Parts: sequence; C-alpha cells; structure tokens
Amino acid sequence: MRYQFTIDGELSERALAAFPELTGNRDRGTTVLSGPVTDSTGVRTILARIDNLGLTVVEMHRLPD
Amino acid sequence: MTTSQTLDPTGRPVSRARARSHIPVFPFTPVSRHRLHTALDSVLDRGSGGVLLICGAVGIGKTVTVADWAARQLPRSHPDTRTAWVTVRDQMSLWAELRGRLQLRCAAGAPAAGIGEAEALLEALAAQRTPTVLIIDDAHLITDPLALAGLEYFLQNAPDSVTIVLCARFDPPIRWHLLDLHSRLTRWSAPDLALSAAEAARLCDGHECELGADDLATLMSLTEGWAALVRIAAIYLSAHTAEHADALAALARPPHAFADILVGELIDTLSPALRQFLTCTSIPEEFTEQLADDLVGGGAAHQIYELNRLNFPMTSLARGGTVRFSYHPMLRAYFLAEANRLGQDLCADLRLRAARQLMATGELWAALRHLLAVPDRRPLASFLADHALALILADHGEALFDALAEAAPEVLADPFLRLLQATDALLHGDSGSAQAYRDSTRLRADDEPVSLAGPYRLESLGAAVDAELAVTTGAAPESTPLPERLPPADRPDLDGYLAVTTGTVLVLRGELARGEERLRVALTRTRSRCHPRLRLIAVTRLAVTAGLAGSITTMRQRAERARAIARDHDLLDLPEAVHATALEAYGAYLQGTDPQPGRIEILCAERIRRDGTPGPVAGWLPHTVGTLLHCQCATDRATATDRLRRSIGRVLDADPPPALSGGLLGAAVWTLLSVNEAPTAQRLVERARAVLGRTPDTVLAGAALAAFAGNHQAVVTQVEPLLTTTPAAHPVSRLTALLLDARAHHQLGNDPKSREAVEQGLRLAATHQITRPFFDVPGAVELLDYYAGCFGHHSVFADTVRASRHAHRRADHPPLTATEATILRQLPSGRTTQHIADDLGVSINTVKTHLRGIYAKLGTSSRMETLEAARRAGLL
Repeated sequence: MRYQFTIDGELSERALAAFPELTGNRDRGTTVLSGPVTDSTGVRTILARIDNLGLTVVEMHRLPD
Repeated sequence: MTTSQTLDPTGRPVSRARARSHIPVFPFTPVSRHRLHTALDSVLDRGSGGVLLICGAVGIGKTVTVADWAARQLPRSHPDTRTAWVTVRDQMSLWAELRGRLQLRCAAGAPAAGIGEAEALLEALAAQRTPTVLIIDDAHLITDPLALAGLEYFLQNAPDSVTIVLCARFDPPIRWHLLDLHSRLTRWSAPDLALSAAEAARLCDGHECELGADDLATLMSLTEGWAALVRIAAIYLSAHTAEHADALAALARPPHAFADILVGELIDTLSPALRQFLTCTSIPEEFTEQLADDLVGGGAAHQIYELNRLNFPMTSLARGGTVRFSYHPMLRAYFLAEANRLGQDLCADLRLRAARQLMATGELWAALRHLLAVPDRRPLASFLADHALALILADHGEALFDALAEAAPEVLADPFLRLLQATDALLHGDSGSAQAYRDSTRLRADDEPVSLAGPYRLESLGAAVDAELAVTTGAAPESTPLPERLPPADRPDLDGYLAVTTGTVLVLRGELARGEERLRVALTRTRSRCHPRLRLIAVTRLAVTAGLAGSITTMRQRAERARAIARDHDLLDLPEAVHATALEAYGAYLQGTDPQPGRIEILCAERIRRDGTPGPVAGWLPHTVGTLLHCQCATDRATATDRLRRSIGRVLDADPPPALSGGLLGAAVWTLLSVNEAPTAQRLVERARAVLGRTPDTVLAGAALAAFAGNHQAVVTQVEPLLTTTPAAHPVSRLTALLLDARAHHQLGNDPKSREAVEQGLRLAATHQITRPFFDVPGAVELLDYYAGCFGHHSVFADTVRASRHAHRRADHPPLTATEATILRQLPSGRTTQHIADDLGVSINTVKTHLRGIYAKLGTSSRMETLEAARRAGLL
C-alpha cells in the first residue's frame, strides 16, 4: 500500500525528518508526503505524528500500486 | 547545580497531596483562565451527571486548563468534591486505575472486561454518593472495542453525583448522541480553548516578553490563540528581546506551516548543548534524571535547570519516589525528528541506552518498545531470553506477541518464542493452544535447532511447559519426563517456573514428599528478583499438596498465605488467586466453617474469555467450589443445586477432566441427595464413572446413593475395599467410607463393628479437624449421639460436631417447648424435682407438668429412659 498525505504549508527539512519512511515534495504552499505504509495502523501512526507536530492535513489518499 | 530528587524542577517541593491525586504539575505557572474555570464549575453545578468532552489538537491547552482548574479552582469552589485524574496510557488498565484513584475496592474478583468493569465501578460509586469529578486525559488513546464499550456504558450510566471530563485529540468513537439526548453532554473544541489576546499577553509577560498591541495582534493571527504555539513564540521572542517586530515578521513568512517554522526557530535559539540534550532525551516518552544522564553522558541536572530557567514546556510528575520529566508532545515530535536527522546509528544507540537503563529499573515494557525500534535484532533477542517470561507473568503476554508480530515477525518463529506463547496460553487456561504451540516447537526443532535463547534456556522452558501441560490436561503425569535435578538458579523467572511446574507434576503423580520439596525450592527461588505471580503460584500449589496429603488445616493456612501475597502485589484478579480462594473455601467447607459470601462471589465470577465466550475466571473447578458453598447458604436451594449440577457437569465435560475433580464429585452428590434429587445424583455418578473410571471417589459416590436408598448390605460391600487398601485413601474419603460403613452396620444390627468404625472415623476426623462427612452421611450425627460420652479424649471433638448447626437430625419426636428444653437440661444433674423447681423459681407442680410433656413427646416413661432418648436425639 502506498499513501499520499498533503499538508498545509511548506515543511522545513527539520519537520520532514520526522517522516523518514516518506518522501516529501514542497509545492506552492503545501507539502506532499508519499510512501509505503504497511496497514491501517501504519496510516494512523503517521496521522498521529502529523498531529503531534501541530501540522494540518489538507488531503490524504491511497495511491494505486 | 544538582536538583534534589524530591523537588520538582522549579524548586518547589512536590506536594504529597498533589502527587497522590495524579493531577499533572507543570513547571510553568499556567495563565489563569477565569472564563473557562467558571464554565467548568457550571458543568459541575448542573449536578445531573454531566459529561464534558474537550477535543482539540495537541498543545491547544486541554490538559493545562483542566489540571489548573482541578488543582486550584475546584478545591475552593467545591470543597467537598473529590477529584480523580487518569491519564490514559494503557487502555486495558483504565478501570483498575480509576478504582485505585478513587480508592474503591472491587468486591467481586475480576469482573468481565469492558462493560463488566465499568459496571463494577459504577456500583461502587453509586453506593458512596460523594460528589466526584473524574478526569480522563488523552481519552483518544482508548481504541479497543471492549474498552470503548465500557466507556460508553460508564458515561451513560454515571450517577448524578459524578461529573466526567474527557480530554482527547479527537472524539473516542462512541455514541455521543445518546448522551446528547439527555442534555448531559457539553463539548468544547479549539475555539473554546483558544487564548484571548489578553491571556496571550499575560502568558508572554510570564516569559518576560512584553509585546505591543500590533505585535500581539500579529501573534494572535499567526497562532489563533493556540496555547502551545503562543508559549513557544514567547520563549522564542524573549530570546530576541530587541526586535520583536522583526522576529515576528520572520515567523510570518508564508507559505510555511507555522508550527514547523516556529519550533524550528525556537530550536535554533537554543545553545548546541541544550539542543543535544533535548534531542537525546526526547527518545524515551518520559525520563528521570538518571536516564537523562545515561543518554547524554552526564550533566543532566544542569541542563534540566537551564530548561527550567527558560520556562521550557516540560512536565514533571513524581511517581514511585522519582521525578519523571516529559516534554510537550509537540516539542517531543520535533526533537524526535532532530534525532532522526542525526542518523540511524546514533538513534539506535540512544534507544539501546534507554532500554538498558529501563531494564535496570525494571520497566520492561518501556524497554521493549525501544528495542523493537532498533534495526539490530541481537539486543532484542537477549532481552526476550532474559525478560520475556517476566512480561508474560505480568499478563503482558498478548501485548508482547502483538508488538512482536508487528515490529519483528521473524522473531516469533523462534522455538523459544513458541514456548513462551505456550506458557502464556497455559497461564490463561487455554491448554489446547498451548499444546499446539508446543507441538509446533517440536516440529521445528529438527529444521531449526538454534534458538535466540540458547539450548540451555530452551530446554528448561520446554520441560516446564511439558510439565504444566501434563498438570492442566491431567494426561498421564507418569509419562512426563522430568529433569532429574534442578539447574542452578541463575535465571530467576525461568528456574522458578521450572521448579513450580515440575514440582506440581510430582505431586499429582502421588510423590507428595518430592513434589513438596521441589515446590519449596521454587518458593525460595522466587523470593527475590522474581515476579510475585510465581510466588503466588508456588504457594497455591503447596496448598494443593497439603490438601492431597490430607492436612486440611495446612492447606487452608497456605491458601490464606497465597491470598495475602496476591493482595500485597495487587494480583487478586489473577486465576491463581482465585484458585487459592477456592482451596481456602473448600478447606473451610470440609472443616464445617461457614462460607464467606464475598468469597463465593469471587469463585462464581465470570468473565469474557479470549475466544469471546463467557466463562469462569479460573476454570470450572473453583466455580464448582463456589456453587457448592452457595448451596449451603442459599435460600432458594433448588436453583442453587441446579447450578452446582451444571458446574460439576462442565468439570466432567472437559476432555480430559482436570486432576482433583474427584473430590468435588462426592460433595456434589451429597448436596444433591440432601435436597432429595436422588435420580439426578444417580445420573451424575454414572457420568463420573464413565469419565473418571473406578476411583475411590466414584466408588464412594455410588455407596452414598446406596446408603440414601437404604441398601445397607450394598454399602458394606462397596466400602469394604476402600478401607483395606494400602496406602490408605485420602482422609476425607476414608472418613466418609468409615461413616458409611458404621451407619450400614448399625442398621444391620452389628453394633460392635459400627462402634469401631465410628471411633476410627472420629480419630481421623479429630486429627485433621474434618467435620463435613458427619453432616453428609445420613445418620452419622445420630450415631455420634448414640455413642455420646463413650469416645474418651475425642469426646470434645465429637461434642463440637454434634453441636454444629450443620448437624441436621431427622427428628422423629414433636419439638420441645423452650421451658421443656430448659428442664430437660437440668435432668442429668440428678437433682430432685423440688430442687429443679427451686432453681427455676417455679412450683414443683409446674416442673412435673413439663416433665410429663417431655415423657410424652419422647415416648419414654422414666428419667433414665428420657436421658437416653434425649442424648440420642441430640437434645443433650
């Protein structure tokens, strides 16, 4: 499973380091994080991490394999 | 400088009362939020079991606001309200924690998980009616369906005196609308909690950072009143004292995520040493000064002092005599990211250090979490070899295997782990799964003889699992190979477990002396450095040994000791504690002591088992003991005996039936006979014979049926072999056999034999203080009455049996009046009628009238005859 999370704001290197398993792309005021996620628990862990960092999720979806 | 362990980082002594109430203490002084405090008070004042749900992102100020209110405002506005604060860490122990905070004891042993636990707590709360505020922080961590169901039930049925405040990052998924229907739910979200401009200004003042109106407006528009961000901004701005406007302008650069850029700027203002300290200490969820020293290589006290001086958002909580620090979750997330940037090797090294330190302080579960995150599996393997058994004994087995399955599935295939899974299943009474795990270990042993734990441990645990399997399934303990000698005790848990299990097998084989010796070794080994549960198991099994050896008094004493251990270590909910309770209760039953109603509840308690079906907490044997005792004191005896019949039926249903089930068979048959359920008793005995074969217990049960039917010759024939076997049968069986024999001989007119058997029985009973068979065997008490006074130095014991209120006689004479009984008791003194009349202060004619009444009722005609008859009827 691959997922893509779109986050409000362009993240610094520092914040991106919190997601070593995902690749981040900054794009006009948002940051797109994408990468493999094992299961729904994995998705929730990433959401919790985003939450902990005080970031806002704009969009999230599963990518076709 | 060094910070004393009993001081919180601000230097204020950590107040004992605060620490006990578990309300978090913050290093900074929270901004007083009058508006919210009044609103919280008004939720409480409604007095209709109000529920307040506070939802918002991390750092919005949920915990700080509620903690500040609970600690400072509540004692003033509602002085007689008590407060209980629970921060959810382990959702499974939520109810136990709440009970502990409220200092409520749970009466009924282990209630069913989820709703059952909530129900038990509600009952205890409703009984007290003290106004109570329950605060459950981090409620979003409750995700388990059972725990959620319990929470929902609790919220909906909370008594009016209880107000519940839930803080969560998002709504726990339960049916909130049901609460809404009764207008009991109040919701607060981010806008409700946002700081007003004035509050933000005061917060900044606290950080010695005074802002002008424009700067404040900019700050408010950037942070939207988000408390953590305002505080972080204040720390950042106070580092840039001169140019607040410029600093804010730098922050306001779009299009960055504000939290990200703000924390980034904050981190940049910190000194490199402090940054290093924060990065290292963010690895564990919370840390003590010692752990921090270990992670950064010394000097932690100074850094903690520095952070304090900066008013850095760091929480300190005194628990178990040490102060533990933790960072604001938002900051921790950023510092964890910093740690990631340092590289994987360094990160792994930090985790290993944290794990080592946590292992040293006995926090195994926390240590495991770090080890799982390390890519190198060797430290994990050695941890599992040393400590996994302790985790399983602490009932973390299921969580341990879940965590391994997620993070290190390849480890689960290891034969040692399979054996651990078998151990876990055995502790949960699931011998089927245990057997399956054990078999899979054997199958794999050929392909993969190497284990992470090494051959020595693997062999020991294998032997222990085999022994315990033989115990629970009762499958031919003779064929279980046992290690001849116990290995030296250098691995406390494993060696203790091995000694306990093999000792039990020896006991069940009938080698009581060797078994007892081994169990005693186990007890010595488990005395230190070992999980208390093992000690509980060892003492419980020693009690079983005493019971099998016939020393009922010792069995009761040991079982009481086991219960004391369970109480001291908060293990009363474990099956082993229930076993100990059952042994004590059964011993009391045999000795004719009245059962304690609370104990019966513990024994009969049911819970939802792992497969989802309800069942007794500790198997059907304790349950049968519970129903048996219930029959003794229940008013509705028909229903009670029916429950007993079903319970013993389940015991016999088990394939193979558990060891020790025979003893209870007799008790059940006698109880059924006492309520005239002879056909049911007959069917039970037939089932038992088919399942258990021809054992002393089934023979005795058959003889009981014959005695009840008045078939005395058959009783003599059936009981005879039991009395002549060597070694002698168990004292309880032997006593029952003797009494049946005596009764049958008495009825057949063979008085000398009858008297000999009664005397033998009495001797045996007096040695072990067993009384129950006298009350069970029909006519046994009458026999004691008949021979009363001829028992030499056992007369005292005979008299206590005859005087017991369990001693029911079949009265074949009309009942005496109270006065008649008084006069009857005067007769053995040999005084004249005139003397008796003088003593009682009545006329001689009155005494004569009563005497005539007594003669008529007992059908006698002289004083001698009357004395004889009264003694036989148990009136004297």
